[in-house]
Parts: sequence; structure tokens; C-alpha cells
Amino acid sequence: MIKRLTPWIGILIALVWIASNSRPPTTAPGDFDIVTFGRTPVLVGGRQKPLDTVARTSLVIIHGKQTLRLDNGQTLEPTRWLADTLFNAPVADKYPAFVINNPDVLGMFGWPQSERKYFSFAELTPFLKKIDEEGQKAENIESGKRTRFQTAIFNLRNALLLYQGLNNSLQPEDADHFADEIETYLSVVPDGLAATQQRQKGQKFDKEKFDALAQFVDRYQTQSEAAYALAVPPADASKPDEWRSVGASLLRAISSGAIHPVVKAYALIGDAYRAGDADLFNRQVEDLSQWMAQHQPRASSYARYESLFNQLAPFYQAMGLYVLAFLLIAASWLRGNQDLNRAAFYLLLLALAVHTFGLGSRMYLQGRPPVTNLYSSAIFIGWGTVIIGLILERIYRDGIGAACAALIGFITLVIAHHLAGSGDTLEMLQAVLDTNIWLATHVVCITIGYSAMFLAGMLAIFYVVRGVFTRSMTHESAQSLARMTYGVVCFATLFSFVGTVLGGIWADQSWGRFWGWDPKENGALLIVLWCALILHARWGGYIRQRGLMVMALFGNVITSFSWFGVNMLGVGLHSYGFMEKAFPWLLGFMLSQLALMLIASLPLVRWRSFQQA
Amino acid sequence: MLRQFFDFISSLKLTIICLAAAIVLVFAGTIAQMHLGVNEVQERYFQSMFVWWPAESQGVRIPIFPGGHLLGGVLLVNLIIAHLRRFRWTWRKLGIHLTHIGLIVMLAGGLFTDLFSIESFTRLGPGESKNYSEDSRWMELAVIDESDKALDQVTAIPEARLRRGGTIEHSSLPFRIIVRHFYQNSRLQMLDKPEAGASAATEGAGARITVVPLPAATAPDASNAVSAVVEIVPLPGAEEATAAPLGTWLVSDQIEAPQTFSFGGQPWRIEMRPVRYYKDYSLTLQRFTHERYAGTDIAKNYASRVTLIDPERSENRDVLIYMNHPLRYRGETFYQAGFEKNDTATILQTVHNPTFLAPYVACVIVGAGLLVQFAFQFGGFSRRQKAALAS
Amino acid sequence: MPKPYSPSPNLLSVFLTLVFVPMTLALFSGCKDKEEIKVYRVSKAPLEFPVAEISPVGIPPMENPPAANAPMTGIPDMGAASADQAPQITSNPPANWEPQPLSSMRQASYLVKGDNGATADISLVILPGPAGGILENINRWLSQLGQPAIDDAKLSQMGQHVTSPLGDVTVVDLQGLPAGGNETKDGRIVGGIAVAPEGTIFFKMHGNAALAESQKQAFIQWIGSVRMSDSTAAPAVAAASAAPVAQSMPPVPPPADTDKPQVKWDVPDTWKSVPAASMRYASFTTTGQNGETAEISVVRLDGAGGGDVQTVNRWRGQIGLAPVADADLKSLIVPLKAKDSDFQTVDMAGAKARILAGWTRIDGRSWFFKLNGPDAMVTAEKERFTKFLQSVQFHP
Repeated sequence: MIKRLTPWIGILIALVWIASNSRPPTTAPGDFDIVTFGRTPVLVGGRQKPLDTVARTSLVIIHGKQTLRLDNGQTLEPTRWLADTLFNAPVADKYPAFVINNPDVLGMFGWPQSERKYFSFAELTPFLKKIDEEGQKAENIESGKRTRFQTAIFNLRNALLLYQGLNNSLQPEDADHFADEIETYLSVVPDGLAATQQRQKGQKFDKEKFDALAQFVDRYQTQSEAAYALAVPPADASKPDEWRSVGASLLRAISSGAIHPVVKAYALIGDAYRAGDADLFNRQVEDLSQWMAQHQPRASSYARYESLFNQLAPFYQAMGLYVLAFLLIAASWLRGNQDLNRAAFYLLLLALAVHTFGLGSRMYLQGRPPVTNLYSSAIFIGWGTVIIGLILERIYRDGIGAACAALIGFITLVIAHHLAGSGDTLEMLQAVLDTNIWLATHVVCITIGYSAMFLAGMLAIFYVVRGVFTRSMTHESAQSLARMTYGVVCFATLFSFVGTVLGGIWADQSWGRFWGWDPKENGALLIVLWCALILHARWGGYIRQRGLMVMALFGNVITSFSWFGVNMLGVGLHSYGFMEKAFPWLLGFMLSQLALMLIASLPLVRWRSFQQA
Repeated sequence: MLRQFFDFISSLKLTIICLAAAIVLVFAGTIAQMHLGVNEVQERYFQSMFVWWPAESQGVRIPIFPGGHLLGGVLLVNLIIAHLRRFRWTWRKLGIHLTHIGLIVMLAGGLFTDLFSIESFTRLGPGESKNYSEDSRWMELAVIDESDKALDQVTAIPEARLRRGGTIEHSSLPFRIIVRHFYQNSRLQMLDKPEAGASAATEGAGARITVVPLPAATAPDASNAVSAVVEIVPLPGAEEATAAPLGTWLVSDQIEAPQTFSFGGQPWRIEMRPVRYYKDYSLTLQRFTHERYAGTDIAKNYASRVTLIDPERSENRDVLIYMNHPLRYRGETFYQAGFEKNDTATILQTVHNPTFLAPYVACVIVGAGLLVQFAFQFGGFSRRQKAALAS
Repeated sequence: MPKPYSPSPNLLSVFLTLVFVPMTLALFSGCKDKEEIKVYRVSKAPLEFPVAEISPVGIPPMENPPAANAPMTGIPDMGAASADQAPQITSNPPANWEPQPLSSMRQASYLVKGDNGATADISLVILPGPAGGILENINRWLSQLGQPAIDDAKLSQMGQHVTSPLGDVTVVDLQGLPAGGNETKDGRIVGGIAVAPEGTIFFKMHGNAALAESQKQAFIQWIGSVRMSDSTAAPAVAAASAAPVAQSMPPVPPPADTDKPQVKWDVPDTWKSVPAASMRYASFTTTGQNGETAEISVVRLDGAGGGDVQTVNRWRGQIGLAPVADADLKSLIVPLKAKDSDFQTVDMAGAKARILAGWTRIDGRSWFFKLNGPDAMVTAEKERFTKFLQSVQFHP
């Protein structure tokens, strides 16, 4: 009885785990309501997003990960770190936020390399000028041609610029009692304006009053140029993208005579935060939240949803579930227990649901089809493979389909996690990509093709590993694996071909040339050709079971080249970035597949499964 | 023997060989693009019969691998003859037939596009009108008879002809042009005054310029600065038509000022420029806009508002050309391709491709064929599976 | 699955494949010769003129080149193929409107200058056919000012109607400055559109808003003054007068065939009759010793067929001569008596070509006889042409 229940207990644990992660965060009494603060929308990089996202992506860029561990062992949440950075620079400057791995950079500061990876702004302050110089020199060099030192210093400079941009986003970085300051500013405006006009006409003017205003103008001008986030929403509903920085908004007050309520709200919030007055902070944040809901309903509701999405982190939850599912299936093989198999299947369905929720949320937030950049392609590949794998599992019910689904689901989400290092994964799309039809058809088809190829490759890995190293592969199971693989390859052929041709048609509509021999186009063509080769070779009897598997393994090599490799060539229309960190991994993966191919080429008598007893 | 040839050329083995060779070729070409650039690779690997080694040489060259045209051609022939000779036309094979027919259309279409399509660029500054587009790669030497009050007569000598060198004669020219030097890539440097050894030419701007030959540009974005030094010589028997010697001239796209001379009392002009494709209509750029996302440098939209004037068809209308929305007019299509001069000038890619429909048609046919084929296979498979489960 | 028949190739088949395919492809590639020298002609004029592209082999005889942007103040040419006749207009513009060179699209062009560099550009364009319709064109003007389009209802509200010799003109006053527009030259369009037998007529004043305001009255009055130049009615000042003005000229004369038998002439033997283009009543060519050709054309128009000075200046423009003023025209004309009419003739030589022409008006029609070709040819043919003119009989 207990044996039968065990698998379901596993699922129960999983559900509880998800539920606990999904609890809305509560604020301890007497603490700052950072959560509501994090839901406030701002405009960054052309996209409206909540401060929570700004916090997380900024930390990823500056720190390499989303959470910050202080020297005293305490972990700082992203939004709290952001609040300090926005309002309380002296405190934030001391956090060990900046990640530096490169020994040459450390050497430039005169620091020896040690265990320490994280440094604070305060420590870096004496070297800011030098970092700026070296960073600018590195910027002028093409990204593919920089040395490691140059890349590191370039990144450090960007991180520092980002940090200072945040310091200046909601107020000038050294402001204290900002609410009083802006009141004072408003009061000097009329006289200062009069003095300026007199000065322009060449008349006598009151220098004191002129200077008073000029000082403020300079200050806010500087702040508006440095600001990273644009916090003041536009008054004109027809131009939803024209948010302004706090400084720019204050400068407009000269002609309008009034300060924007959002600016005032942030001033009060900042003051309360610095003073440690949690009640006042919370009240002001609540007021601001209501104002946003009323005047910027769309931005406000999307920001709320995105904060929720950030906090739920569905892809990390799905990762955990995939691992659990795989363990269950492995257990079901070892113990021959069909119940474990069924449990794993339902667990996978749960994981798929979470994965789908994440994917769907991204589509909703961006307003776009699911695949728009490399990060989202990784998410989608995993999703597609899991679906196909589950279908296979339903047909064959031997755990293979489910195991492949779980493994590939997990691996692609890990890859996605590493691809999120450049910041906002929901970034705005460049003009040439700005067309939903082609994104929805061409890109999705190609990505489904990738999913299928990787699935076929994974099945082949199973075949080879199981057949060579274990005794457990009977002729029936070998046959069924071969049929699965063949079916998936056919599926991959269809989608890869249609996707490639759709890409050609898109290119023809956009710049008049159906095929340009661009590396990404070539990569897609290679997949189609390879699939065609497999099918024709099989039809001609040139390959049978093992040959099919070997070719499917090579399909992994070709597909990973097409998906990832072409981005590393830095050539052509499709080159969106040079990823030097990923290269060793890619190479390693390809070599592993080649090794498996060699192993599979061992004479069949050497395969443990095919040896007579 | 002929039968064996046909057997071979329609065999599945040949298909497999070609597919495998194509994979190797595409992979090699993609890697080569890292240091050669798309255009160069296209020419050497994909639009040629063979891949030669060494790539550029006047001496001995050996073909080391079949090129794109050869492989595509063999595949095409293989497919057609196999269909004619060996395939059975049954309903069960419908999917395969459709797929292959679609592939034939696509390969043939691709071949025709390679041979017949013309791609060029139309660059317009604000308010500028042009009734021609310029080739993106090739230059021409334009020898222009300016004697008529209303019309210029242009004799356009293509770069390939200049590269071959020698003497150029044409019925439209009352003189000969002798190619003294041709530089595939060059750098022009100003001289303070004409110098005997350094000056590139005896007349015109070339007298004050010296030419430094450079190796042909192969890096992806680099282009060649083509120049030539030509000598103009009256035709035998017509020496008296001109009093002063006509001398040698340096022609290059980088020479901005017009170079003119007089022959037989008529004014002539000579210039090297990208090959021009004149049209019967003109485009005038009213405005180019480049929108970026607020506070970023990411491009949101590029758009050119141009006026199309066609006196033959009495067209005088404004058109908006922007990303994914080209202008199609009289067999040519204009795409928003780029911009220059600080966001004020537009670059429109101009494409003339009579066989542009082929890939669309082919895609539909092949897609249908694959669907039919896999539907059949899946149908058979699921029947067997049901039977297996039932038993 | 049974293995399909797949024999091992012998060396010869492989070789044949490697030869057969390249040969076939070479056949195709032969179509495109990368070294071919092309010859063509390009107009020096602004870009409303088409280009004649010629085959690489030889150079066909010179056609009537469309007029360049030379100081031709009277006569536009409508498109390439049209022969010697197009709707011609006259009007009474105010004194402060500076005339501008015309082009094939513009029948009238003026520039008004105001304070601080403000300018307004005034044009009259006639396009054959409906040219898109009144609403579409007004919306095009609106989009040029960066304003949204309107519908028929709005148009009927804001449009006013002005009667002119050419018919009813729908006049609109549009304001707006497009993003990045230049205030001194842009910001307002006062325009009128009329649909007439000649085609659709566009009156447009486009310029600085304040300047356009100040010129608006004068502009509307000018619209009322525009008429086809053959009309014998006095220049209409205020367009409000009710009476429809004298018949304007149809752009295309009735087909020559219907009236052909009426006119008789003696055609010299060396002249070859060629099919007449739609504008022409008759057409001949003659070839000289060295292969040059000269062309003789006969055109018949209803009514006055345009003013003499305009016609002569148009011909002068075709051979690259500067136009003459009214007063000087008399000195060029040589009268010639034909069988039952009096011809006025001119003999004008340009840099490379020469025109001999004679015209007369009879029975409410105008007849133009023209010989043009290279100087040597015309000299050779002059006597024959004169005899031809003298032989013309309208009432045989």
C-alpha cells in the first residue's frame, strides 16, 4: 500500500513546494513595504516595467546574480538593495555589489587576486576616472576582438554607469530632505524666471535670484542626463512611451508652475526611507500606487503582474520539478514500478503547466509571440520538447519519452538562466523584428524544429548509452526507440523545412532577397539537409537502426551549431552577440556527441545489451 | 553505356552524395564567412561551379570541391530524371511527389534568381530626386557625350571590361580608350603639385593624385575602392579631330569633381561610378524618420516618405516606405534598407527579381507534400500501434 | 523496404555528370555578359522626363527631345510621346508673383516672397484623367502637412467652390506643420481642384502660413483668371461671372482618318509616308546619302491651336535655341502663299538640328507643317518642303 502511495506523496510534496513559493510576500509589521514599492512602474530601455524588474536586472548586470549577500552574512533582496541605491547612496555605496573576476582589472587597482569577488562602490571610488578611461578605450574596439581584460573593464564601467544612473533616477544622488528642496525650488522659480528674462533683454537683473534658479536648473539638468529610469509618466495618453526623468519633469515646472505629483511622491518616499520612518514610507507608497492605478492603469496593472511573475520565478520552479520527475522515472526503471512512472508523468504535466504559465506570462507582458530573443528561444525549445516527449510517453508508456522530456526541459532552462545575464530578457525588439506575424510563424516553426531535433538526439543518446553500457535494452525496446526517433525526425523535417522557407519569405518581404546565405539561414538549411539525408539514407536501406541513431546524434551537433554556434561567428544579419563564455560549453557538448557516435560505432557484439548471455 | 549514365544520374545514391556534399559546402561556407564576408563567400562557394584553390590566381587553379551551382544543378537533374524514370505515380506516393516537385520549383527558382535578379541601392538625401539606382558591388566607367543641349549620351563600360584591360572601342565613341592601369582596390592621396613619377595621370584630377594599390578587400563590411588610369586616343584616321593630346585620366568613384575634355569640338565627361540602372520614373525623398524607443538607442521604426513621379503614367503621389512595407512599382521593389548622413538620408534597397514568386509557390507545394506524406505514415503507424496494443 | 535499383556508377557516368550539368548551366549564364558595354541617353533636365534606353548595337535616330528646364516660359511638354500640342493656359497672376521655370508637370509656376524669408510656392498642374479623385488628393495635401485625412462629409463642410473658365473648382484651405517642417516655407496649403475635359487641374499654393493668408484672396482671384489660351473671351477677372466661357481646346484632335480626303497636296517622291501618331494628321520621312533622316509632320488642331509665339518658342526649345519675344517674332516669319491659303513660315537652325515650319489657319482649324532633321538634310530638302507647302489645297 505504501509502495503504491509513495509516488503520490512525491507529487504532494511538489505541490506544497510550489505553493510555498507562490505565497504573496508579506511585509513584517514596522518594516518598509518594499513589495508595493517594487510594483511601481517606470520606463527603462523603452519598456514600462516595475521597479522590481529594474532591481533584479540591475543586480544581475552589476552583481552577476539577483541576490546580494552582505559582509555580515545577511542576504539583501533585490528591491531593498534598489531602494538603498535610489534613495540612500551613502549606505548603498558600501555594499559589496560589483563583481570583478579578472585579475588584470584587480591589478590595475593594486589589489592582489584573492577569494574576494565582490567589491563596493566606496572601494572603487578612487579609481573611477581610470576605469572610465580604460572602459571607453575598450568600447571603441569591436566586441569580438577585445581581450579578456578589455571585456572585464568594459563591463565594470557599464556596471558603474548603471549604478550611478540608478542613484540619479528618482532624485539627485546627494539629495536629502528632497521634498523641502523642491518646494524651495518652486518658490524661487518666479523671481528667478523674471531675472533670467531681464538678463536676456540686457536689462538690470537681480543676480542673487538669477543664480538661485540657475543652480537648481544645473542640478536637475545633470540629474536628468544621468538618470537610468524614467519615472514620471506622460500626461498625454496618446504618447504612452514619453516618460520623463525626474530632473526633466522638474525643469518643466518652470513653465508650468507646478511640480508633478509623482515627483513629489518620490521625494516624500525617499525622505521617509532615509529617516527610517516605515509608516510614512508605506503610506506614501500606497498613495503613489493608487495614483498610478488611476492615471496609468495599463502600466500599473502590467507592472503588478510582472512583479508577481518575477517573484513566482516559474522557470526555476519548473527546473526543480523536471529534476524530480527524472528521478522518479529513473527510480521506476530501477524498481520496475509502473506507479512511479505514472507519478512522474503527472509531475511532468505539472511542470509543463508551470513552464507554460511562465511562457504565457512573457507573451502577455511583451505583447509578442513566444520567441523573440535567444533567452526565450531556450525557454521555448524546452517547452516544445516536453510536449512532444509527453506525447511519446503517452503512446509508448515506457518512461523514455518522459525521461527525455524531463532532461531536456531541465537543461534548456539552465541554459536560459545563463542567457539572462545581459539584463532584461523582455527587451524591446529592433525595428526589423517588429512584426508579429513572422515572429509567430517563422521563428516558432524553426524553434519547434530545434526541439524535435534535440529530442531525437536525446533518444539516440538513450539508445546508445542503454545499449552499450547496460543489459536492459531488449530488441523490442530498441525497436520502439528507433520508431520514436524516426517519427520525431520526420516531425523535425516538416517544421524545419517550413520554418526555413517562412524565414526566406520574410526576408523577401523585408529586404527583397529570399535567401542571402547568412550564417543563421545556413544553419537552418543544414538542419533541413541533414534531416533529408537521414530520411533518404533510411529509405535507400543505407542505414538501419544504429545508423539512424548515429545520425540523430550528429543532428544534435548540427542543431546546436545552428542555434548557438552561428551567434558566435559575429557575422551577418543574425549576429546578436558574442558569447565567449558559452563557447567552451558548446564545444564540449559537440565533442560529447561525437564521442557517443564513436562508441555507437563499436561492433554490435560489443554492446552489452546485444551480447548473448 | 548511356543507360548506365542515366541510371547513375537518377539514382538515390547520387542524391545522398549530393546532399552530403551540400552539407559540407554550406558548413565550410559559413565558417569562411568569418573572415571573407558574405558576398565573397557567396561568389566562391555558392554561386560557382567549383570551389577553386587557390581562390584568386592567374596561374593554375584546381577545383577542390563542387560549388553551389553544380550541386544544385545535379540535384535538380537527379530529381527530374528520377521522377521521369523510376517513380510510380500512385496515390500513396502523392506526398513524396508533391514534395519533390516543389523542390524542383525551388531549385530552379533559386537558379534563375541567381542569374537574373538585379539588386541595387537608391540613396536619397532630403529633398533629393533620382531616377536611377546604383549597383551595390560593381562599378562602371561612364563616358558621357555632353554635346546635346537636352540629352547626355552615356557609354557605360563595366568594371569587368576594364579589368580585362587592353583597348576599348565602341561605335558610340569617336575615340579609343586604352586601359593603362586597373586597381581592384586603392587609396588615393593628394599631391601638392603634379609630379612626374607620382601623378597617376596627365590630365584632370589625376594629375594631382597618386594612387596606392591595395589588396582586394575581403573583410565582411569592407568594399573595394576601384580605380583605373585610362588613356584617350583618337581613332586612327581621326587624329585631326582634336588639337591637344587627350592624355591619360585617373577615374575613381572617390573623385568628386567632374572630369571633362573636348573632342572634335564636343564636350565629353568621364567618371567612374557604381553601375547605374536608370528608370522611367523618379523618387524624391521628402523625409526620413528614425524613431527610437524612448531613452534608448534601439530602433523602433525607420520610414521614408518619398514622392513617386512618373510622367508616362501620370503618377505623382507620395509613398511611405518602411520596415516590412516596401514599394512595389513597375517590376521593381524598394525596401527601407538603411540610412546615412546623421539620419537625414535614406538608403532603399532596390530589387528587380522576375522570379520572385517561385519560392512562395514551392513552399506551398512542398509543405502540402510533407503533410500528406507524414499523415500517411502516421496513419499507418497509429493503426499498427493500436493493433499492437489490442493484441 | 526493398532496396531501390542503384547501380555503382562507372567512371564515365560520373564524368558525364560533371560535364553535362555545367554545360547546361553555362547555357543559361551565357545570357548575362558581364563585359557588355551599354549606351543610353539621359535627360539633363529635372527628373520629370523619361529616359530613352537604347540597344547596345547602334544609336537610333534622334527623337524629339523633351524640352529641358531652359527658360521656356510658355509651353510645357506633356510626357515623352506627345507631339507638338498640349493644353496651354494663360492667366493673370498678381505682380508680386515671380514666375518660375516650368516642367512637364507644371503649366504655371510662381514664387511669392514675404517677410523674414517666408515663401509660398504656387503651381498649376494638369494631369490627364481623374488623377485619383478630389478627396484623395486633398488628403494627400493634408498628409504633406502632417494632418489626418478627412472624409467626404468634412470636405463638403470646409470646401468652397469657385467658378472659373475651366469649370467648377473645389477650393480648400489647409493648415498644419509637419514634424520637422520649415515654418518659413511650410504650414499652409490653399488649393483648388477642378475636373475638366483636359484632365484634372490642380491649383496649389503651399508655403508659410501667414504669407499664404495674405495671398489667399489674390490666389482665388488668380484661379478665376486661368483659362485655356485659345479662348477668345476676355481675361476673366472675378470668377463669379455666370456665363460659361468659350470652349476650351480638346487635348486630342479628332482622328485624322475621318477628314483625310479633304486636303490635297503634292508629296515629293523622296518622301516616305509613315503611320501617323495619334496627334498627327500625316507623317513622312526622308533619308539622306549618309543614312541621316529628316522628318516631316502635319498636325491639325481645332481652333487657334495655341499662340504663334508660344509655338515657335517651343520649336526653338526643341533644337536648343533661346526663345524670342512677341515683338521679335515678326522678324522671323516669312510669308508663303499656298494654293488657297496663306502660310507663315520660319527657318530656324540649332546646334545640330534645324526646323523648317509653316502654319496656317483656315475653317476654324490650325494646320502646322514641320520639317526637322540635321542641318544638312534640311538644307537639301528645303526646296522640296517649300514646294510641298505651296501645293497644299484645303478646298480642292
